[in-house]
Amino acid sequence: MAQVTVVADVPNGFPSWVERDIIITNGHDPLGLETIASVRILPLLLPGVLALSRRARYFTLHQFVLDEFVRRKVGTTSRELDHFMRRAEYEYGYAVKLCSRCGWDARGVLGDIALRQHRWDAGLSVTRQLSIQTRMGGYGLFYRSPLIFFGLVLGEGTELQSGKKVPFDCLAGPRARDLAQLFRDRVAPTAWYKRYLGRDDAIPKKALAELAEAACLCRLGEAPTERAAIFDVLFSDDQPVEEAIDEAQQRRRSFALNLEAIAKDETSVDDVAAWRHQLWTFADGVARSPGGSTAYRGTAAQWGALIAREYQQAGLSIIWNVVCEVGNRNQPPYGFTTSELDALLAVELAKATGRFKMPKAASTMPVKEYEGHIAGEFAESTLEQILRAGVDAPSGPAGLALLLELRRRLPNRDAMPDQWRHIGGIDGSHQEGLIHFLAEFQRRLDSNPTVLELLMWLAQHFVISRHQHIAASKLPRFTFRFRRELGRLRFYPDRAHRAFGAGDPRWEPLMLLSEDLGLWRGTETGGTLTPEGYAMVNDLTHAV
Amino acid sequence: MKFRPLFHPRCSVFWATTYTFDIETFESHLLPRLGGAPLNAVVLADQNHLEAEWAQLAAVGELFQLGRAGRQYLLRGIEWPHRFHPKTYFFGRPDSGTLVVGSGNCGLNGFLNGNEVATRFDSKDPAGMSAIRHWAAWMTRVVHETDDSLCEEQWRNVQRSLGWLAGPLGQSTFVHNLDESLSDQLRRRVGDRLDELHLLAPFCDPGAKAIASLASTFHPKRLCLYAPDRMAVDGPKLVRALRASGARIEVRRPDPQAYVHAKLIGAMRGKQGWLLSGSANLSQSALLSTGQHANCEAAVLVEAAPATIRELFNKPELAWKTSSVDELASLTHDLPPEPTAPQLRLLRASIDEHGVVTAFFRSIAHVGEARLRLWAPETEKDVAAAVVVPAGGSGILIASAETVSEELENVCAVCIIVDKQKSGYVPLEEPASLRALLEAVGRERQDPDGLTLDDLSSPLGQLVVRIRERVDFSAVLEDIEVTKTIAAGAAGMDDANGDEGIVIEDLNELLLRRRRHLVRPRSTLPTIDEILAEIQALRDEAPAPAHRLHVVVGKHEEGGAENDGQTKHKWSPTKRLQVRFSNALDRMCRAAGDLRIFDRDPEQAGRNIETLIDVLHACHFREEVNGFVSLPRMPVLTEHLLLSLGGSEGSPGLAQKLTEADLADLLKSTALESRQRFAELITHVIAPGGHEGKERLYRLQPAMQRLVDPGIIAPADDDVRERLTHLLHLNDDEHWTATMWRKHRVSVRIHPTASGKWLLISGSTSVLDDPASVQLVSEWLWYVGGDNWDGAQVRLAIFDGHAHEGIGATRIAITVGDTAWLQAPGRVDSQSSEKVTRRVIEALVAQHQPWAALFVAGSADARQRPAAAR
Repeated sequence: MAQVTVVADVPNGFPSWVERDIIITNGHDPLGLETIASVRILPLLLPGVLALSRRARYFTLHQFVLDEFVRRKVGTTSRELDHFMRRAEYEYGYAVKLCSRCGWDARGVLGDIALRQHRWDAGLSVTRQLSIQTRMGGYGLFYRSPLIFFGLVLGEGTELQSGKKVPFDCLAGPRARDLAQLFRDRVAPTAWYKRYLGRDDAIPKKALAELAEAACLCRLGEAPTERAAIFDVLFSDDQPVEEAIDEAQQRRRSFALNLEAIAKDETSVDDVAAWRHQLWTFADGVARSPGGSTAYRGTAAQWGALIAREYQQAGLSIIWNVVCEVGNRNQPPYGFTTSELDALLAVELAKATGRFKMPKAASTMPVKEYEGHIAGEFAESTLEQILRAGVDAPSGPAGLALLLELRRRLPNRDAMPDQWRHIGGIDGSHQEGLIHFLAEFQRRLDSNPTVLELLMWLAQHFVISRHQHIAASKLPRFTFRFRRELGRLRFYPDRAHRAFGAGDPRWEPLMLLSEDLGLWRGTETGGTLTPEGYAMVNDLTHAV
Repeated sequence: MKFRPLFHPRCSVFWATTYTFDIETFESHLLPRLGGAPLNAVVLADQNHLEAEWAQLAAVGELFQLGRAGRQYLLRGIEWPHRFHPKTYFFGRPDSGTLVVGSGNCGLNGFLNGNEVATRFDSKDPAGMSAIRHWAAWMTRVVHETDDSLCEEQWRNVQRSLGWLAGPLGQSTFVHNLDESLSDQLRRRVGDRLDELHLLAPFCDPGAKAIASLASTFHPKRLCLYAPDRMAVDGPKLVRALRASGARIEVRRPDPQAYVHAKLIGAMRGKQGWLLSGSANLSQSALLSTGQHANCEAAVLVEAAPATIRELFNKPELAWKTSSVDELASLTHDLPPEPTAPQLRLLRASIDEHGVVTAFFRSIAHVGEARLRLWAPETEKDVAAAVVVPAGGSGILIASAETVSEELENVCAVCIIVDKQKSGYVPLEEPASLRALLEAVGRERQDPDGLTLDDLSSPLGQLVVRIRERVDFSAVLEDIEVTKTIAAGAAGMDDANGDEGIVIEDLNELLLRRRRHLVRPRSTLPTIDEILAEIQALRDEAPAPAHRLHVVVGKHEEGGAENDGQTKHKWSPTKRLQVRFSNALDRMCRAAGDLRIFDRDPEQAGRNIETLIDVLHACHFREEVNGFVSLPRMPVLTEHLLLSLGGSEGSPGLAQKLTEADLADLLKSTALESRQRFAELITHVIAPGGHEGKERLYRLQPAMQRLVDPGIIAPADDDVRERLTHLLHLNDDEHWTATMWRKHRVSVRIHPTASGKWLLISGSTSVLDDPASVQLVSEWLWYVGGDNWDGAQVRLAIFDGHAHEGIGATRIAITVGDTAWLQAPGRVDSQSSEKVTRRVIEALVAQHQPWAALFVAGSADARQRPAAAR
C-alpha cells in the first residue's frame, strides 16, 4: 500500500532555503599559467596533437570501428555508435593489457581506470564494459577532434554537399577507409573480429590475447604499411586542405626537434627534465651561433620559448606553494586582514634553506646582491637543477632564484628568430606569458627592491591576486584555494594546492607517438633513434 | 531557490540593496549574465563596508577592480546611522519583475553557497506584485535618503521604464523598519502570548538584549533557539536571558558544525503561525529600533501553518541536534571590528563629458587646500583641485579638465587629500556611460532570425577568407569564453574519467572545433551559415574595445557596434549578414592600432592594417561586395580605424606610440597601394555633409593629419591629395569657437556686424591683459586667412555680462600690417605703439605677452580711428 505523506501548505511569499549553486572542485591551473601553454601555444607548435592522443594505433583503430559500425549495420544513430565505440575500446584496451609485451603497465591505453579494476579478475572470460563514462569514450575525448582535424572523419551534423547532414560520425573519404582497412587486415583473422566484436556476452580472454598478438598498440611496427599510412596522416604534405600542409610541416619540425633531443640525450624519453633541458639548450645554441637551417632555428626558438615559459611557471609555482602552506597553517578564525597577511608573509616568505639561504636578512638585502649570490652559487647548475633544488625545498627565495636565473640566462631576444618572440609573447587571459612577465619583472628590478619587497610583490601580484581572478572567472565551479571575504583573505585548508611546477608540454604524446611510428626505440638507458628518426632530424637540420 | 537563473539577459533592470558587496563575484560572474544594454543596474551597499573593501583593494594595489563600477552599473555606498543592512534584489523586465528579499549579501556567499533563506516575489502573482510595489515605495525613500542626483536619476528611469511598478499598493508581506521597528510590527500582527517562539540568526547584540526583549514581549511557552556555528553573542548573557524568559528552552545546533547566515523568527499560537525572515539579525538595532537608532532592514512577514514554519527551520542538510542551554555559555561576541566612518569621507566622484572631475565629500574638520589623487594601474598621480562649495562639513571638489585630461587614461579610482588628510578611494564614475546604457531601456531585445540563404558563392566569402589569411590579433586575444569553458570542462571531466580526464589540454578540442570552421575542403563553396560562423570566429578573435575614460556619448556614437537585437523588425538574411560582418570588421578596426601586435610582430601589424583598408575599400568601391557594409556604417568603420591608428584626444593611436624608426617599419609592412586606397577611401567616406558629417570630420582631423604626415595615408594623385587637404583644413565658425573653448577655455562668440565680424570673448579676465586673447587672434587669422594674414582685420571685445554684443566692453581693432586701436571703459582711446604685423603677433604669442604690451596710455584723435573701431 502506498505511503501517504502530509505536506503542509506553503503560502505565497513564504521563504525557502537558497540552494547551494556552486560545484566545489579543485580545478586545474590555479594561477592560469598552464593554460597559456596548453591552450594558446601548443596548438601552434603541435597542431592536431592533444595531450592524451598518445598512441598512434588508435588513429587506425577508431577508423576501423567507425567503418565496422556501418558495415555491420549496428545502428543508425550516434547513440548506438557511442555504445559500439566504447565497447570496442574496452575490449581492445583489455587486449593491450593482456599483451605479452605491454602488460598492465602499458601507457596511453583508453579506459585504463575501468580496466584496472579488473586486473586481478580470475576466470577465462571478460564481462564487456564501457571504456570511459563520457560519450564516445576515449575516441570522443582524445581522438575524434584530431581525426576531424586531419580530414579523416566527418563529425555528426556535418552538412554534405547534397544538403544532408551526417547522422553520426563516419569516415571522410578513401584515405580514411584505407586506414580502417589496414587495421582490419591485421585483425581479420582473429576470433574477436569474426565472432565477438559488437556482441554483449562475455568474451574469452584467449580471444583478446589473440587480438593483442595481432594488433596491439606496441605492434604497429609489424604492420609497416599501416604505420606508414599513419605517418603520412601526421606528417606528409598530402593533406586535404592547403592550410593543413603548413600544419603538417609544423608537426614534422616539432617531432624532429624532439627526436634531436633524444639523439643528444637518450634519457629524454623517460625523463622530462632532461627533455626540457635539451630543448632549452637548443634555443640557447641558436642565440649563440648564427648557424643552422632556418627551419631548425625557428623550431628551436619556438620550443625554447615554451620551455622558458615553463621555468617562469615553475618559479611562480614555488611561491604559490609557500603562500598556500603558510596561509593554511596560520589562518585566524575569520581569515587575514591585509596587514596580518603581509606581516606573516614578510617572515615566512623570506625563509630559505640550503643553497638558497641568504647571507643577509631579506628585508635589507638588495635583489641585485642576491642575484649575484645565486649566480655564483648555481654557476655550474642548469635551470633544471635549480628547479629541482627549489621543488625539493620550496621557499620564496627558491622561487625567486629560479626567476632571476631564468632572466639572466635568457637568450638575447634580438639574436633569436621571430618565432621566439612570437611564442614568448603569448599571454593568457589572466597571466602574462614569458616576454611580458619578464618585462614587468625587469621594471620592478629596476627600482632596486630588496629581496623581501620583490617576493612580496610576486606573491601579491602574480599569486594572490591572480588566483582570485581566475577562480572567480570559473564560477560556478568553486576552485578557490583562498578568497577575499569581507575584506579578509580566507584560506581553505581542505583544498588541495599542489605545486604544479614546470610542465611537460606534450612530452608524452611526442615520445609515445614517435616510438609507435618507429622513429626511436628503447634501450636499457633510454632511447636511440632509428634510421627513420635520424632522417627526420636530418630533414630539419638541413632544410633550406 | 537559486539566484543565478534570475540573472538573465532579459532583465533590463537590476537593483540590489546589500550590507556587504562582493565586487569580484558580481562583476565576473553575475553582471555578465545580465547582458549588455539596455541595463539599469544599481547596487546600494553599506558605505562603511564599501570603504573598508576599497581600502583593502588599495592596500594590495588592486583598485583596477573598480574600473567597471560607475560605468557599467552604479555602485553607491549608503551612509546610515547604524548599518545599511537590507538584502533585497529586484530583477525587472518591461512587462514583469521578480523581487527577492533574503538574508544573503550580494556575492558568492550570499547567492551561491547555501545556508541562506530568501523569499521570491513574482509580479505575475497578485501578492507578489503587491510586495514589489511596497518594495518600490520603500526604495523611493531609500534613494531619496542618498541625496544623490545620479542615483535618483537611475531610479526615476526604473519607474519610467517599468510602468507596471505604479499601481495600488494593497496588502503586502514586505516589511521594513523605516517607520516602525520590526519587533513592533511582529507584535501588532501576532499579539503578545505565544505557544512557541523559534529563533535563528548568526549575529546577536552582545548582551542578547533583543532575544530577552522578544521573550518578554511574546511570553512564549516554548522558546527554540537554533544556534549555528560561530553564532556571535556573549554566551553567559544569552544563557541568563534565556533562563529569565520563563519559557521551556530548546537549543539546537547543526551537526556537524556549520555556519548559517539565515535569519528567521517563527511565532506560533495554536494553529496560527507567523514567520519573519530577511536581513534582520537578533540584535537591538535590527529588531527593536527604528529611525536614527536602527539599522536599515528589510524583511518578509508572512502567516503560515506552524508545521510549515517548523519545517523551514529544520533544514535537513543541517541536521540540527538538540543541545543544552549551558553549552551556549561558550559562545562569544568575538567579531572582527566593524568599519567606522572616517574623518574625511569621499562619497563619490564622477567625470563628465568635458573631463571635469567632481567629487563629493564629507569632513568633520576644517576644509582647506585640496588635491585629487587619480589611481590607474601602475600609476598614481595627484592633481590640483578646488573646493567650491564647502558647507556644513560637506563639500564638492572639482578638478578641471586641463589638469586632469592628460592623466585620464585608465583611471579607475580616485581619492582626495584635504589638509594632508587622505580619504578612501571610490570608483571614478562616468554618468554618461550609465546614461548610454539607460537610453536603450525600453527597447526590445531580439535575436536575428535563423537564416537559410542559398547564396553559396557570396563575394563576402572571399573577403572573409582574405581577412582570415592575413589578419591576426592573437597578440591581444583574450579568449575568455574558451578559457572558461576549458576550465569548467576540465573540472567536469574529473568526475567522469578519473586521471584520464585530468589534463586540461584535452579541451583543446574546443579550439579544434572552432578551427573546423576554417578548414574547408577546397571543393565545397561556403554556405552562408559557414560564413556567419567565420564572421563570428573573426569577431571573437578580435579583442573587444578597451574601456576608456572620457567617452563622450552622443548622437555620433551610433558608431558603436550595431546591436543585433535593437530593431523591432525581423531580420532579413541579408541584413543579418551585413550586421555581423560589419560588427566583426568594427572590432578589428578598433584593435588595429594595438601596440602589442606591433611589439610582437611589426609585419603582422602592417598586414592587419593593410588588409582592413583593402576590405573597407572593397566594400565601398567594388560593386560585387557593395552593400555588405551599410552606407551609414562605412564612415563609422573608417573612423574607428583612423582613431585606432591616429588617436584621439586622451587616447593616443598607434602612430603616436611609435618612434620614427618604428613608423618606418610599419610603413614598410603596409603596402603603398593600400595606403593609397586609405586616402581614397577617406576622401569618399569622411564627407563633411550635414552636421553629423562635419562633427565626424572635425573629430578625425587630428588623427588624419597624424597619419598623413608619416605616409600611412598616402594620396595616389593630385586629385585625391587636393580633396584630402580640403578635408584636413575644413573649418567653420562653430567648430572654431568650440576648439577655442577646448584649447584655451575661452568662450568666443562670432558676432557679424556691418563692419565685419567681432570676436566677443568671455572667460578671459581682460582682453587687453590676457595673453590668451593674442593667441586667439593668431588662431583666428590662421582660420580665416590660412597662411596669408596681410590686411586681415580682427576686432575683439571682452564680454563681461554687462556689456551687450560688445557695446560697453573693452574693444580692440586690429588690421594686420597697420596700427591697432583700443577702446576701454574709463580709459582714453589709444593706438598701438607699432604696426601690428604678423611678426609682431607671433612674437607676442611666443613671449606670452598680452595686447597691453602694444599700447601706451594716451589719447588718440578719434578722427584718425578706422571706422571699424567706432
